[in-house]
Amino acid sequence: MLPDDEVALLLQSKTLTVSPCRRSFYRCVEQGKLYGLNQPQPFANPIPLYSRSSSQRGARFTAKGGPDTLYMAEDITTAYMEVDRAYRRVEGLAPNSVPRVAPPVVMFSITVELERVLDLTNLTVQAALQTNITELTATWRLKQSRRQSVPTQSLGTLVHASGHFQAIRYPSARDLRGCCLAVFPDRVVSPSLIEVYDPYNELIGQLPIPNVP
Amino acid sequence: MSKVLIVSEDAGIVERLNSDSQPLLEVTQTAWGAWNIDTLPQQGIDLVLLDLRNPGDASGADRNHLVVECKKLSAETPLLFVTDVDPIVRQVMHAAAQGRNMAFADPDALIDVDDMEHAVVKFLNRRKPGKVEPITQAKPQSRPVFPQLVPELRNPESGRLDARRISDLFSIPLKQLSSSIGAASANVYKTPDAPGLQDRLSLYERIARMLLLLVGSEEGIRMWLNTPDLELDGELPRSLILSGEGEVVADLLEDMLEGQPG
Repeated sequence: MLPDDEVALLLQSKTLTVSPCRRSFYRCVEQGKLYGLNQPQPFANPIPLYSRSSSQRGARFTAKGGPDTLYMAEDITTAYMEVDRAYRRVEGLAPNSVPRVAPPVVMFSITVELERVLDLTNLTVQAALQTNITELTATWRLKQSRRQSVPTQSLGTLVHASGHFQAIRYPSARDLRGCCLAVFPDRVVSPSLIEVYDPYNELIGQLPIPNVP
Repeated sequence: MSKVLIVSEDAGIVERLNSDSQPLLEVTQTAWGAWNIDTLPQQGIDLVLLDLRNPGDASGADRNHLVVECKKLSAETPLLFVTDVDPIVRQVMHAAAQGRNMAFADPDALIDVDDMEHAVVKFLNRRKPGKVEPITQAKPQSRPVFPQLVPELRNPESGRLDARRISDLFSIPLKQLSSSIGAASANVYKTPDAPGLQDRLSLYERIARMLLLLVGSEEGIRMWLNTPDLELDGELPRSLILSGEGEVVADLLEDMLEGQPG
């Protein structure tokens, strides 16, 4: 990855390819987490587009204390692998010995209509930033915990600060065939749209947040 | 008092157990080479503890033969194997022994009298229906009153987190657990649910609650904790917890529950 100051200059120059994004994405959340069933009182309404945890705990493109960022996967398999990985690993160790109990989850689709996405799967963009798939999918948790520099978090911070992009599309570390999207909610303004698909009006979530009369 | 036969070359085990002023077990010991397996049914033994760490006079082949014979005997007499094999293998073996008359214990249990007695008593109790249930994610009939807590880790009388119960669930010797939370092990042995320990034990409950949701069983929890995690740079979650980096493990589990794509 280029040094931070050079990345900042590159972002200011607005020479990086800007990609639109119009398609469905997916998120899979453990049922209790979504509805607050593991809280003393369940949530009055679930918040499927909750994005604060990324800044509270840190995430791949979000430093702790950084901007709220909403993460989602481009396909159902990748979304499910995020919530299923602990169970899958244990099952792989002793397939016939452990109880076969997978966590209850809620999978939902998210309609995404964005105009300005930085697509890190684009090799031209990778070359301009002098990065590659290894760096983009590298582990980050222990580095963050040990106060070491996390290149993807630095990049996310600079991309958000530039104000030029609404989201980052990136290769999934979990599933090398999959891709994910990190959206900056405060950069999503009309006519751009992020909306949870739910014909039962149970999971209500939309960005930008609509004005209620 | 339960009668326990220890097959081991470590002569100090019985001495350590007998040093306890209020022993819970009646312990006898024999060396591997001197053990006559055919007399076992007549001895009224409640449990045989086989120390697999040291071959002593018996060759490995002899020991293996004895273990095979023991497995046949396990229909009548429970067997507790003490082994220091790779932790992952041990967890798999542990899971394979579930529901049978066999179990595996950590070698550290032989060093500490309390840990040793606790491992044996716990195993013996587990065989008695209704005494000690395996910790699994129960199917509640109604929503739990305190869903953010893990009742299995709490003393039912005081309601407080109990280091002894945490030690069992995480398969961490109490001495190591005490060290990880910066508490004197003597005090933790004496009062494992002391009010002063509650804040320091809360991270263990947070991790246990999430792991129960994600893997659904006690065995699954121990396997996950003892398997290197790529997302944690190949380190064992258990080691990170013990070295004071448990928050990063808890955060990883929170992200799993939220399905946060990494």
